[in-house]
Amino acid sequence: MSNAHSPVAHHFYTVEQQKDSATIGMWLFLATEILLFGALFTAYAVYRYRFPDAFMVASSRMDWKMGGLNTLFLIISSVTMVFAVSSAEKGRRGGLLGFLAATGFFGTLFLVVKYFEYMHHYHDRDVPGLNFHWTGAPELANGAQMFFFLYFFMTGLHALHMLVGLGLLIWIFITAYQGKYSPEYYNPVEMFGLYWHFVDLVWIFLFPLLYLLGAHLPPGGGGHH
Amino acid sequence: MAHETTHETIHETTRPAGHPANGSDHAHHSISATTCLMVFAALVIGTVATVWTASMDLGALNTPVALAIAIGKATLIILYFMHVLYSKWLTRTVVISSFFFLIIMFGLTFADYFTREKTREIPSLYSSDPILKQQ
Repeated sequence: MSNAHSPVAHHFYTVEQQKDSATIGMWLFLATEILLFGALFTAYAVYRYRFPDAFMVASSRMDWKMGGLNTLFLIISSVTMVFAVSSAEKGRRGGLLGFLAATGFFGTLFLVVKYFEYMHHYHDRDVPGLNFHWTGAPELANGAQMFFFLYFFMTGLHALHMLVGLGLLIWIFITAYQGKYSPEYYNPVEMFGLYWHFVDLVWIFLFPLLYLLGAHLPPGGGGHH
Repeated sequence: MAHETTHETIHETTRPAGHPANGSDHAHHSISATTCLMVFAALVIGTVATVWTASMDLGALNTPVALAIAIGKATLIILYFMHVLYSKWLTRTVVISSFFFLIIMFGLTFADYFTREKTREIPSLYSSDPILKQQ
């Protein structure tokens, strides 16, 4: 909305006030996101309390190395995003473009790993409502199905956020390439950074709660075929 | 005149309390590269620690330990990467209240679901015996 002459939109008095407004607005949006994912974590806790053994055994069917690798990819992409924002703040367009590209690269790697994980689960017939087939102890079947339902719901919603994030990243990259950002005005870059870090934050909780419940069980944990 | 007043008010109410006017108002403090890389190292160490502790059988402690590490990592990201350490109290209020409401959602839901076995021990609630039920 800022016109060509001033980085401050007409309804703001100063650059700082404009930035504070954007920051508060972004955090209000993130508050709704925290509660959205929070509701899913609540459901996870309730069903895990109901089916503790089934969740542990079903979780041992996860490939924690893939999840750990994705955790590292997201952390690295968060770090490159921090550098992208500070490049924008210092008016370094080249640095901004480079770090945005690196962020997008690691975000894409995350989704590629996720794709192979989902394919693997599909072949293992782990997908509730599609082809779920439990070969472990029969009394754990219901709880295991609930675990995989929550796994696909939570990681699916997270992956959707990653896709939206990559779309926004392309838009930020193009506008940065066009030179729309300056040390006075780079709010979209910084607000996108908040969103990207939030998506990283969700994964930090998803990883141990979904991938590592059965990590202390002996290999084959009981749920494998 | 009216504009000027509003402007000043906004400035006053949003000035961070713990930060006395240290130099220019534009002393915007994005984190230094060194700090960023230290946080990065802490996050990687936290991830390794998560996997390492999960591979041990800690009994009932496995999940609390994993959650404690995750909360530590999340705090680092919120404070440093999301700039809350350097933000104004108005922003911090939004951040804190969002987690406050998250805790309310957790607390009230868990207070119900995690205590249902206990309430089943109260005969007057669940017994099929009509005399017990009346008590």
